[in-house]
Order: sequence, then C-alpha cells, then structure tokens
Amino acid sequence: MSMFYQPLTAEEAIAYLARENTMACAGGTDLYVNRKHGKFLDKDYVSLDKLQELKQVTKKADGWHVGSMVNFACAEKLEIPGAACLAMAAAEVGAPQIRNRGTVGGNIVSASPAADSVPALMALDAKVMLRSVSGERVVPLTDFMKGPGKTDLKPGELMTEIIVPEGKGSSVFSKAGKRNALAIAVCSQAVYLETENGKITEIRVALGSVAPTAVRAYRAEALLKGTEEKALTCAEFKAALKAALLEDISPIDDVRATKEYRQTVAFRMLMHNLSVLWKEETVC
Amino acid sequence: MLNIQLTVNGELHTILIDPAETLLHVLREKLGLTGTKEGCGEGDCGACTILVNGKSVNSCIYPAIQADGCEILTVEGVEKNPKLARIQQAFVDHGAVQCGFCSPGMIMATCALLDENPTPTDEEIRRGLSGNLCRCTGYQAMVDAVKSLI
Amino acid sequence: MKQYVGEKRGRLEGLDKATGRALYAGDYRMENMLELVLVRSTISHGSVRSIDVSALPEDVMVFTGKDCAENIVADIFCDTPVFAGERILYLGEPIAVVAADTREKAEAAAKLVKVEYDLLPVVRDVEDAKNPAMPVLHGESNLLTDFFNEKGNVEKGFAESYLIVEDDFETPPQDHGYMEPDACFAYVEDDRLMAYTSSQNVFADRVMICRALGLTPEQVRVRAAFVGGGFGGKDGHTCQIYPCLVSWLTKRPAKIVLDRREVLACTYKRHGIKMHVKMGFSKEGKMLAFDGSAVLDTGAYAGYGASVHGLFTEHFTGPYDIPNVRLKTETYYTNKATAHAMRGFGAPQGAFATESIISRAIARLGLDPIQMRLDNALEKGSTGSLGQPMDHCVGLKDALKLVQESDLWKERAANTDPYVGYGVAGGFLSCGLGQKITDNAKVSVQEREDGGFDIGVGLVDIGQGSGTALAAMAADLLETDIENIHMVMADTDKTEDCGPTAASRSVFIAGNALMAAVKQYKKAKEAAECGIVPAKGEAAFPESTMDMGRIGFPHAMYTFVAQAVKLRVDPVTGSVSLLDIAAATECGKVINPLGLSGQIQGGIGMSIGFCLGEDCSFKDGVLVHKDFSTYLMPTAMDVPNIASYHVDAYEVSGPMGVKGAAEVSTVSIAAAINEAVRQASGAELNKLPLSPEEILKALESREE
Repeated sequence: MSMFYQPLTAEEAIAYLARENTMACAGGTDLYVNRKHGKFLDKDYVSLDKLQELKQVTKKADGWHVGSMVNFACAEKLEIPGAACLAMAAAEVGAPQIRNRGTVGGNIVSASPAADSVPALMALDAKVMLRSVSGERVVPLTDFMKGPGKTDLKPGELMTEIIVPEGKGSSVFSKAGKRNALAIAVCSQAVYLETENGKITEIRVALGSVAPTAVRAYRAEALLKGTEEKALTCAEFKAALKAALLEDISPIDDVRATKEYRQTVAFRMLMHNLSVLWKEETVC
Repeated sequence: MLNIQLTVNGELHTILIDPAETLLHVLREKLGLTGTKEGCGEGDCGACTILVNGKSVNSCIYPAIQADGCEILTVEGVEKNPKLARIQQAFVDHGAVQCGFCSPGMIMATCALLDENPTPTDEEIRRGLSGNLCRCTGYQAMVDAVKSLI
Repeated sequence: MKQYVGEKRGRLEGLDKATGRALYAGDYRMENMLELVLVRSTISHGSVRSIDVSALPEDVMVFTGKDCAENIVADIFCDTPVFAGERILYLGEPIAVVAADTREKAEAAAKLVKVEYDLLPVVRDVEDAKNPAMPVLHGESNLLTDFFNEKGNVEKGFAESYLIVEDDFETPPQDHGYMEPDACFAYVEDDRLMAYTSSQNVFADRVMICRALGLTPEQVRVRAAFVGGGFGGKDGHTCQIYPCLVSWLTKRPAKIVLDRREVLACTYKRHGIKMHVKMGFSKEGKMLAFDGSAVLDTGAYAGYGASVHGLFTEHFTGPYDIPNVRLKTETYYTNKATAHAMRGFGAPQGAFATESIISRAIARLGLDPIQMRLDNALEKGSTGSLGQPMDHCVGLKDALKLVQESDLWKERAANTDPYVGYGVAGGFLSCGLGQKITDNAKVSVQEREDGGFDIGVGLVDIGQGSGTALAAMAADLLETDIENIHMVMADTDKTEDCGPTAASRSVFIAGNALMAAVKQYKKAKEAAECGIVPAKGEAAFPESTMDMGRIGFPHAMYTFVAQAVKLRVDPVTGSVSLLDIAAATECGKVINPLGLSGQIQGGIGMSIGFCLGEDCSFKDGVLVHKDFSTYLMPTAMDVPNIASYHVDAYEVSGPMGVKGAAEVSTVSIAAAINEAVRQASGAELNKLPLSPEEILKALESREE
C-alpha cells in the first residue's frame, strides 16, 4: 500500500521526493482519477497541499513568480500586466470544485495536451523553476513539455514556481470545448500581442489539443511579426498564415473531434484573437 | 494506516484512514454521513461536493490526508450553519429538488457560491453550479431557488 | 376549504432529500454486510469456456448462474439470463458476482476471476443484423419486430403535392444519465428476503427475484428506496437480483452499487434509429403525404424494444393531421447493451427527423413556422397517423399559440444578429401502456388514529413527484390538510401492484384509483364501517377504440407540446449556445404547476444533451464515450432559461382532468434547435448530436 507523506515545507518535500518511487500530489484532481483506473497505485505520494510557500504570487525582477500550488480559483483572479490569458485560461478550467483544487503546477506536470493553462503560459514565455536535493534549474516551459503525460521533470524534482514575465502588450485565451463547463479542450489558443505604430512588434501564439503537447506556432508568428492590421484582410496573406499555422500544429482525430475540425478552429481562433487584441491595443 | 483529524460539521473526529483514501470514503464509510453522494467517482458530476475550509470540492477525488486539520461542512451540517437550512428550504420550495440525488452536492455548491458572492447574476449562478450535474430539473428551478436567496 | 390541486408545491419529501437524510439503496448498511461487484464479459459475442476463481482470497465468495434456482430474468420476454454463460451477447454482460466485506476487496477479487471465451463474430449494427452471413442472436432471425401500415393513398398524396422534401436521419443511443448509479440492498429477516431497490416497479422486482431464487411472493418484500432518477432506465433488471441472491444464500446483508462506467457501458439505452422521411406539402403548407421508414437498433435483448418500436411508429408523423401516411419500421438485435425504455419512448427520434423536414418545407414555402403547424395540427375529432381517433382532449393548437405569444417568439422579428436563429417544433406523446397491455392500479385509503390518512400506492416515485401530486389530490378529495395525508408507496407488503412507473401513467392511473378509493371510503364512513379495513379503489387505463391487432399501440390519449428556442452559433468554433427556450404543454388539468414545470424543464435539459452533446455510440460493440468526461450531459451553463407555459385544459377520463406529462417534454426541442441552427448557419443537419464541425463547414461555405 502506498505511503502518503505530507510535509510542511518545500525543503522537506524535496527530501521525500528524493526517495525511490515517490511522486508529488498537488490537488489530486488528476491523480485520483488515474488511481481509480489503476494507475500510479504502487507509488508513494508526497502531498504538496500544506506548502504555503508554493501558494504565493510575487513580483520579482525577472517577472511574476507564481507558486506551483496556486490553484485556478486564485489564478483566475490574477492581474499580471499583459497576462490576461492566464486568468482567462484558469477561468475555463473544469468547474468551481476543480478550480478550488486543481493547481497551475499540477496542470503543467500532468502534461495533458489539452491542459488549459499551458498554452496561456507558453504564450507568455513562462519558465518553470525545478528544485531537487541536488539544486535548482529554470527551464522554458516550451522545453519542459515533452509529450502526452511526459515532461522534463527529473526523478526527485519538485516544480516550485512558474515565472511569468511581465509584458507591455495584451493577451487573450480562447477555448473550444464540447460544453460550457467541465469540458476538455478540443482546441485552445492563447495569443500575446504587442504593437507599435500599427505594426506587430511582438507576437506569441500557443495552442492546446492540436499536438502531443501544447505548442508555440513559430511559423505563424514569424509571418505576423512586422505586419499591419490590414494585412489580415488580404486573402493571400491569410492563406499563407493558415498554411504556416497548419505546419505548426499536428492535430489528430480522437473521441472529441477530428483533425480537420481542429485545424479549421485553430485558424479561425487565431483570426478572432488577433482582431480582439488589435482592438485592445488600439484602445490603449 | 494513519490518523487524521477532521472537524466535520463542527465536531472534531480523529479517524484512522488508509493513506490514499478519499475524503468521500471517509465521510460515507467511516463517519456514516451518507448525505454526500457518489455519482461518478471521477470529479465529473459534483454529487459529492462538500466544503473544506469553506471552499467547494469534489470529495470523491480529494485525498483525505490533505483534509487533516480542516473544517468540513457537509449537507448534514444544518445545525452548525443556519444559512444551509435556508438554502435547503429554498431548493424545496422552488422545485429544485426532484429525485434528490444531486441535491446535497448542489446545495453545498450554492452555499460556497453565496459565501463568495452574495449577489450573483443569473450567469454567475449558472457558473457557480456548473460543476454539479442534474438530470431532473434542467437547472431552471435551481437558478430560481438561488435567486430567491439574494 | 383550501384547494391543493392547482397550487404550486415543492416535494413533500423535499427536505429529507435536501438535508441528506433520505436513504437511497446505496446508503443502506448493516452489520456483517457483503458488498458485491460483478464480473462482466470482456467480449461482445461468444460464450464462456471456463471460469477460474482459484486466485481469489478465501474470504471472498463468488456466485454464478448455477447458484440461481432459475437463471432467468422474468420480464416481458424472459430472454435474459441473470448470469450469462452459454451465450454472451454484449460487452459487459454479467458472468458472476463477487461478494466481500468491502467494496474495495470485492473489486480487487473480481479482477482475479479468469474467464476464457469462445468468440463469435460481433453483430455491430443493423446492417450486420440483416446480413444472412452473420450469427443470429435470438430465435430465427435478428429481426425483433416490424410493422407496415398505409393510411389513405400516399402516392396520390405525393402526386398532388406542390413541394416534396425528404432526407435520411440518424440518432445515436442515449444514456438515461440518472444521477444515482443503479443499486440494491437486501437482507434476510425472519426467514424472509427484504430488498430495497432503485427501480421503477417493486412488484416487477419481486417477480424477478422470486423466479431467479425460487421463492414465493410471500417470502419476499421489496420496497423502493429513495430513487435517484430512472427515466425508463430502471424499469427492468439492472442489478436487483444479485444482492437478493447473495443475501438469501449467505443470510448476510448484501449491497451492490454500480460504478458510473458500468452504468454507461452496460445498462439500458435509448434506441439508436436510422430513419428516412419523405413528406409532400401543398403550396399553402398543408401536409398531404408522409412516407417514413426506420430501423431501430435494440441491442442484445428484447427489453422494451417491441414497445418502443410501436411508440416510435405511432408518433413518427408528429401531431399532425395528414391524410396519407405510410409507415414501415423494423427493429433488430445487435451485440450491444440493450436499448430499452427511455423518457419519450421512441418519439424524440422520430420528431427530430419529421419536424426537421417540416421546418425545411416551411422555409422553402416562405411560411410562418407556427401558423403552418397550426394549420396542420391534430384536434379533437381528427384521426392520427394510424387512423386512430383523437377522442380525448387535444390541445396542440393552444400550446402553439402560447409559444406564439411568448417573449421569445415575439422578439424574433427584431433580431439582426446573423448568427442567431429561432426554431420551433410541435410534439406529442401517448399516455398509458397501450393496446392489449394490462394497465391497472389499486389504491387504498386508510384512516389513521391521528385523524390523518394513509394512502397506499404501489407505484414508485422515482423523483418525478407523483407522490406529491397524489397527496394534493387526496387532500382535496378527503377535504383535509395535506399534512394529514401520508403517502405509503412502493412496498410489496403494504401496497398493491399498480404496474410500472412508466408511460406517463402514474398520476392518471393512480389518481383514478384514488378517486374510486375515496368514494369507497366515504361510503363506508356513512355506513360507519370504516377504520377497520382500508377502502380500496381500482382503475384501468382507457384503451383506444381502434384495434390493429398489435400489442402496445395505438393509445387512447396523448399529451401535446410546442417548444421554441433562440440560439447563437459561434462563428469561431461552430458550437451552439442556447439563449432562451419557451415551452408550452397541454396535459389536461395541471395538479402542481411547479411539478409540471420541473418535468418540462428537466425533459428539455435531457433532450438538449441528446441534441448537442450526448453520444452513446458503440464501435464494434464497444462504447466510445465511457465516462462523464466524454459522455457530455448538459451543465447549468449549457441550458438556458426555460419558460414553461401550461395550457388550461381538462381531460374527462382523467382524475380531476389530468393527462400524463412526464415524458412529452423530451420530444421536440432537438428538432427546434436543429431548425434554429439551420437559420443561423445554413447547415442542414440530419444526425445527432449536431456536429459543430458541420456547422462550421456551413458557415465557411456561406462566407465564400
């Protein structure tokens, strides 16, 4: 039978995680569904629930440090400049009961391709801080996500914080689900945009549920950088943008939606999100 | 096996649990509080909703050990919480109780909603109850019941 | 004297439920209790070669068909074994039951039971079922039942039509989605077996239990626990026999509670149906001819398949007066979980097809959607699609007019959003079990020492509120306060067989029996004979005066609805957001307006799921959406405000003017949504659930 340790400090938690066959348990919203279906039953768990230090959000020189145990009920109320997409994504997670327990760190480490917070954090160029008994390291989120259920988390490591750089632009998150609550994304997208003199100076697009992990749309971003709003109405540009975006993503058919639908929605979402953000940028 | 302490509906219990036991299992099987229901066991229906330190949670996927030292309110906790009694009566009066199986969870979700936002709009009510499935009412009666409490 | 009938009233048992005091079958527990877990087949078709239980711990027990007196579930068609063995007909069919001190132990042990199978080809769908090269599941062929009828001259009707619209339609199986997973608790007391069931008919439970265990009715007492919804899905054997068997053999209390995934994969479903509808219209929109054919997939066992087949056929045309009607329907067995009774009983599937065709005809003819339906609506004295007379109260036109006057419909003209659409559909549903089926009830009235009354009714209140409605009627009839009325329901020792909670019959049939019992009580009271024996009253459901030689249809009366929806399609994703619903119902006299609204809003919620999210499709016999994170029932954020309007009507054969109302709510909204989606997107969709992908394709082609 599993052991269940419940440390009070991150230091202690890291010590427990250094033991063989242990895994962290944040809010349990994913782990306990997995356990019901026979997964991870042979593991020992290290509860992170009492680690108050991981539930803080603090502003530092390199950005906002969001504790990995910050739950979505808190995250949906975050007002980090330029990071509206994170709060919006948090608000789309499950339902109140899930948002009260599910954590940003748990969402990342579970590594579902449909995780709501991951595309938002990717579009914000977030990094994750990982600590273990042998030290700490900071990894860009885009490098951290490795595949469905797979991350770069090494045995013994604890994700303590997510570092979200503050931005002067604006961001937005959209989600296509099959119902309005308790829905797993069929396609999700976060876009961060900065403009100057009517031209895009910085753009980051990240998508969920359209690849083995949430992905950045680097090709589409490259096309968009430097363009003006009116370019978006040009059919030729739109066709090139769509082609680029479809190269950035690799959706599949599954029980929720087809590959083609995900492709169509990904592009329509991008056009929609750009127009929303452009309006915001102009108002500012 | 290990011991945890829970204050359930105002009463302190020391309970011997299996390390990975769920809070729902503790409430129903160890404390005999069967008012809290299991509808899916996977956090998808909200029938097992209770409040832990005032926040609504799905007890079917809540590690009991993480509730150690916490205050728990279940649907049986009326005596400790007169507001709960008002919600229960409003649910009955507005026809929000039909088969009743979702009612305990729905009522606890309402309790949390009104604690956080005493004057929710229709949209906020629906969002507040969106983690609780009901197959009988089409939710209209629940929205009406919550509105009557504002 | 205060009148209770017609007054809004919350449930009498409401506070028991709202406080958590009410005990559902899974909430019972006794010392020394065994908890049960079923060992289910891991194949869809074949037979069991061997069962090896040698790996099980010693303190765990296993029971199979050999432990039954008779391995048969006694139902309409006694075709289902309690435990499958010689033949397995669907994935997840029970093979054995494991009993242990705790559920966890039983679950672990069930996994250790090793079953070896001999495989047969899987009859995946009706095409397979019709294929002579495929195995036959029951009897001579895979056809359970079929029907053909022509009223008038259909070809002549089409020849005279100005517009003909036709198409193929398909609806998937749907799960009932009751929130309480199936459960049963049993124990032995004074050499009698006591059972608390979560079912829709305790008397049928007793018959099943007695046959499988070899007991006499006197040896068994069945009571309904609080039932957490049924919607047709608990009107049969879900799990009642297993704890009874184990308890009787071990003399220990025994309980079973199914897991949600078991409920989804293995229990009864709404029938998936493939349909073709062709309709002819005059230029003015008069419906001149209807030619409908359909194949129903009834799954592994007959269940109520033949009855659903009948009601589907009877309601296929919709509630319209059409002179020329041809109906051809067939129902086949396949290797899937059994399709059975589900709220609406075949009518929602047909209405989706027919009302979609009608809406498209209205659009092409440039007519008003409500006026056109008014022009064709059935009324008292019309004949139905089979030629059956409409001799009862027929209020479809009144219902349509209530929708016409609703805020939702009135604001329609002012809409400027191209992504917003409005749809309306009519619907009807029969009440009562139908032609040649015993449809009786016996109700008792007993004066109590405290001056109150015990009202004995054998029906189960599965959550729909029949107990509260009958109490209001009893209070008025006995001229007393409702607090003095004590409903005693669904107890085989204390009440009499009233048949199933089904067919929107409870309040009608039990109400009539109640009136007879009160009459008897008053007579006895006058003669000063009361108090010793309860007064009893009986009633029988009226039968249609038309006899087609078929069991189960046609019916003597119907309840009518008109339902309208306002919605918006999302131009980014093609998904549908419902904004408002107006629903009007004519079900005779309304006993409890709050109860009726609840039935209507709840049924609409269920059919919103049917239309937009719920898909219980099986692929090669395997359920595709296995849990509540993929089988998507609507949340409070998916269902809009639903205004429920009630026609003031009176049915003379009903108690105090009542007709049934519980099921008709599910019939029309899917078709109304489909029409509104067509308006808002241009998509003409023929398959449920409506696909955002198809809607988006239509939007994209409209943009081009």
